[in-house]
Amino acid sequence: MKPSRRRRVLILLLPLFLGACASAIAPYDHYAYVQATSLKVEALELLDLATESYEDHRVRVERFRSRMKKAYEYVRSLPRNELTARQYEILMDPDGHSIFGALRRWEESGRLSPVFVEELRGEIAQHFDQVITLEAAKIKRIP
Amino acid sequence: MSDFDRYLETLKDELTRMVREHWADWGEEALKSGDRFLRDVEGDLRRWTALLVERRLTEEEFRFLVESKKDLLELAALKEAGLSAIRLEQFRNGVVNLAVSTAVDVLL
Repeated sequence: MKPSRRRRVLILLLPLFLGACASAIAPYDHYAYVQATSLKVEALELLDLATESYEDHRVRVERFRSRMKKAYEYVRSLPRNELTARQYEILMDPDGHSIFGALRRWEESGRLSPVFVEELRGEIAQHFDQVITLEAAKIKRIP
Repeated sequence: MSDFDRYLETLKDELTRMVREHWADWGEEALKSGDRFLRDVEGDLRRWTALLVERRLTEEEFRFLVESKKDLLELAALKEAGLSAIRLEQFRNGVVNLAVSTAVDVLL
């Protein structure tokens, strides 16, 4: 094979290789990672207050819910980021048994028992850890 | 056999029955997944059951905690799916890099 023909073959093959590079999952996003870690801290701080009257912390809870929704909209807007977006949906389901479900329970009950909060805290921390671990493992873009 | 062990045995029997009735197609895989889940949560279940018996947790609180494990299971499954996709992508990137560098070395 002549060198010029080899080059042509290479040029023809390159788009195929580049096509194979198309990612199945979104790359690492530092903003999403920072959001997830800080929301975890906020969620646990809120749970620490859940043995007190919900009314005393209503504004703070609302602010937290709003930040969660913004973070969800952000991760949802990233291409090929459906898995992380679905994780947020679980965390944010008010009828579910993650942080939004816990906040709803607090709101409806007025306050939560210390034993329940202590047990729940570990569960919610693990829930957020699933989001954080996935984001941290995503492949970093080469600048 | 302690009350908790009896509870766990009953739970395993119920799980087997549930898999046979509703997830027969999944068979062994569903049973293994259920067993793994029970093993992972056994420590927490043991503690929560004791708190329930001591009436330090209400039935509703107990139920909420157990249900939160189900949410954890789904969150972990999504994470695992993502990690698999990442591993596949890393492998593909490796193959592509190798194919390109080898082509350059050999053909050019």
